[in-house]
Amino acid sequence: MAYYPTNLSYLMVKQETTAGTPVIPNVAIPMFSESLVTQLNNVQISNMVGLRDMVYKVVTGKRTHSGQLTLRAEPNTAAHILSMILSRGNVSGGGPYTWPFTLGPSGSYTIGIRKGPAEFRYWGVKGSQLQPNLVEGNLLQFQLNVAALGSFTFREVASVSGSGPTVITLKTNYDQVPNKGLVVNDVIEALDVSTGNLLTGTITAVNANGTQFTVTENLSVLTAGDVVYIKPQTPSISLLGDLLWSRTEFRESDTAANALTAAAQNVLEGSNWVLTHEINNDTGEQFAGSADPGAIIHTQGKIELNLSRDLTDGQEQNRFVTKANRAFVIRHFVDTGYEVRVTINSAVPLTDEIALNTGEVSKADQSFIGEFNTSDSQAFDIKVINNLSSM
Amino acid sequence: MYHYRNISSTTQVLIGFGEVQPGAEIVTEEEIHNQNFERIHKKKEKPQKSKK
Repeated sequence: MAYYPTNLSYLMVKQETTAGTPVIPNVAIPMFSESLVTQLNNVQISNMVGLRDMVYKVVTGKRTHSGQLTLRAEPNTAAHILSMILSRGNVSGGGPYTWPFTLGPSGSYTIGIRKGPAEFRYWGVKGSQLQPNLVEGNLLQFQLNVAALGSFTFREVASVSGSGPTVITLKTNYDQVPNKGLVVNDVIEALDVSTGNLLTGTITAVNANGTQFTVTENLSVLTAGDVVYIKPQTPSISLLGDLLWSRTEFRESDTAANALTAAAQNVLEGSNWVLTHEINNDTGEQFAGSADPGAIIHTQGKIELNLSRDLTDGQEQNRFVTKANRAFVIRHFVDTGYEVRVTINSAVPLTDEIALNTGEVSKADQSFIGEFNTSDSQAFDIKVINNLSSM
Repeated sequence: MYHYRNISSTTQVLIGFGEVQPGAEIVTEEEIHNQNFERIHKKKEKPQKSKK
């Protein structure tokens, strides 16, 4: 019996050409943890039929696919992470390259996560919240909340025909369209339950009937009840340096343009930014006719800033009581020339707490919300400067 | 042996193998399944016939 250390797992992503149509993910993002899960939400029927049993029958529910990903934070993969939650503009520069992100419709992604023997595939993925978290004193990790339209994990064989090529028909006990998630050129692995043997096949066609797919190889030994899944890929990574606390600067001024070049503030641990782009109903629209969500729709977005600073001359406290807004630019420098840059055009203070404890230095914990700046015509934007000429 | 070429635009660190520059070819002992790498099918050279 095989066992699978979690460090053999991986997370890979790729933006879909058509939103909601799965693709084979090819960009690996090293991850620390994830909780992306398909909830079946099966319905337990409790009815009066002359029996004491509380659960008479369990029927299919409306599925949701959502969770949280904790990922390495570096500029190349940051562009993909941000593409799931914000609108990506045109790249500029000749290397390094600058990718702009603004509040608008995001891309739709396919994510593959290796769990045990299989790659679990989720499509139609969009993000709803992103923030950097500080760990081990200096390393920043991205925490991203996502929701998806559907998933392909394990499917059951109904029948096979042919002996290379082989047409495999899947059962519809999970979904009426069980082959959704598979893509031409995928490599599948099939477990012959009767012998324990594993067979491999490369997909050459995914049938529009929703139940069949074709592989090149002779898999005629498979029978009803055997299990099929996507064979894990061999991941490859293309990363720049990590976002570090020691190379992060919080800059503040009266305007965003001035904040970009202002001196860095003396900001303490516990300070960070939180980007939100809400998804309607949190996990998507549950249309009639399918157990999976039919659409994931972003509604409203905002950016919040939390700052912890030593209490000094009282200017920040005066700005709090007078609701004076300031512009902030948070610059996460990486290596030479690369950066993740968060601009908050008009940050309005919401809270200002100065809690005293004996033997410490007085500090103020403040929270800000980005409001729409009419001069800059935006509340915030994020720029990623990396070495990707195309995405 | 299997021959592959890095068809992406960036240097890829292939897990279990190492750094591969864009356009570079590698030889592996096992098949790899990675969309950034395209398999290259090498033609076997025909043995030279001796002239009589």
